[in-house]
Amino acid sequence: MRERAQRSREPGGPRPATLDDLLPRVARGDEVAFEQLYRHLSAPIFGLVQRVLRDPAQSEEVAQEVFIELWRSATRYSPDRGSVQSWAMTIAHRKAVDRVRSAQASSDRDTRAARAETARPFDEVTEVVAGRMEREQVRRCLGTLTDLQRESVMLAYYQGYTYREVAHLLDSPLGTVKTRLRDGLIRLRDCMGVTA
Amino acid sequence: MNNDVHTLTGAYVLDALSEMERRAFEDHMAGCPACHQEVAELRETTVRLGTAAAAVPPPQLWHKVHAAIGNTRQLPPFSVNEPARLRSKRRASRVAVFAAAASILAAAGLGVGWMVTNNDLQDELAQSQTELSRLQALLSAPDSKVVKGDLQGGGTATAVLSPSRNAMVTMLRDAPPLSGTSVYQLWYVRDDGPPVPAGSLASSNGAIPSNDLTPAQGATKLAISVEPAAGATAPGPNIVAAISLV
Repeated sequence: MRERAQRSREPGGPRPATLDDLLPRVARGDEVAFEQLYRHLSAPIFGLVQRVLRDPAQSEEVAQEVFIELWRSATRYSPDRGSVQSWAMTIAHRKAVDRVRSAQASSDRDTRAARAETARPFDEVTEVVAGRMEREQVRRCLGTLTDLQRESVMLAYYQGYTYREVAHLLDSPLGTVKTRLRDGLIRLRDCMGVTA
Repeated sequence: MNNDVHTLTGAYVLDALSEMERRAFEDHMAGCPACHQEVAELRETTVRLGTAAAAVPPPQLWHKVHAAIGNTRQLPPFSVNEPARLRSKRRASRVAVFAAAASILAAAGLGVGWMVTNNDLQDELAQSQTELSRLQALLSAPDSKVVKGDLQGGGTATAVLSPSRNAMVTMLRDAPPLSGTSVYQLWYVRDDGPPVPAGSLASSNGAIPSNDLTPAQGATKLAISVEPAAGATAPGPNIVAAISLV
C-alpha cells in the first residue's frame, strides 16, 4: 500500500526504493534519496497535518517543518523504535499538535481564524487514490469501536485535543477517557492486524 | 507496573498528554518493556489513522522543502547525548518521582516541585553577586530544579531552573579554555524539533542567564556545544555536554 501511496505528481521520476532503503541514504545526506522519501511521505504527512490544522497555509508551513526535521534527524532514526513511516508520521502529528497548542497558548485563535478565512481556498485537496484502501479499512475498523471510544480517539488524534480536553468535551471523567483511548486503539490495532 | 500510568499508552501515542505527563510516561516506559511493546503497536495503529487522511500537497511544498534542506545541516548521529544512556542511569529513582509528580500535576495543574538543598550549590557555583542573587531567587522558587552534567574534556555545567519564575541560570565551571572567538553555546534539545539556542558564554567559568523559558518548551535536554562564534542557530559537531531535564 505504501508503494502506491506515493503517486504525487511532483517531483517526478522513477521510484525504485522503499522507505527502509531510503532512510540510511538520507542520513548520509543524499538529496536524491530525500526527494524519493518526500514522494513516499508527502501525501500522508500533508494530509495528516491538514486534517489537524485545517488551515491550508499553516498546514503547508507545518508540513515543511516536518520534512526539514526528517532531513535533520534522519541520522538519528533507529529501526528498533518503529518503522520509518511511523517515525515520520509521529513527528508530523506532534508538530501539528504543537502548533495547535502553541496557538492556544498565545491566545492566537482570533488571528488564526482570520487567517483561515482569508487564506486562498484550497483547490488541491485531491484525495490520493492510494490512500483509499487505508481509508476503507480505517472506516471499517472505527466502526467496530463503541461510540465513546471512537469519539475519544478521533477528537484526540484528528483534532489534536489533550485527553483532558476530550474529557471536558465529552463530559466524562478523566480516567474513563484514558481507558477509552487505550481500549479504542487496542481494538483498532486488532481489527487492522497491526504488529510492531 | 503502575496501572494508572500504564493506561496512558493510548493517550501517549495520540499526543494527548500534557508535556509533563508525556515526560513522566516516557520515564515510566523506559523501565517497562510491556508498555514499550504496546506503545509500538498502538503507534503503528495511529499511523494508519494518519495515512487514511492522506492528501496531495500543493506543488510548491516540495520546492520550499528542497530549498530549505539545502541550507539545513543534519544532526550528528547520537554520541554524547544518547538519551537511552542518560535515561537508564537514573531511571529507578526518577520513575517513582515522576509517578508522584504526574499525580500532583494532575491535581494541581502545576509544574513539579523539587526540594533543593542549596548551600553546596551556591558555594560551588555562584561566582559573582549577580549570579548569586539570581540563583537565590531561582532556588527559592517552589518549583526550582537543578540539573548537572560533566563537560567533555573537564569541568561541569549546572543549570537551575524554575518554570514559575520563567528563568534559568546555567553555570559552567572549569570548562576547557576556548580559543579565539569560540564560545560555549547552550541549547534546548527537543525530541521533536531542532535544538533552540539558549545563550552562550565566552569563558571557562561563568553563567548563562535565561530570562524566558518559552523557547525551552518541550525541551528534554540541555546541550552545550563549542561554536566558532556566538550566534549559532544550529549546533555544530562539537557537542561537549548533554544534560537531561527530565
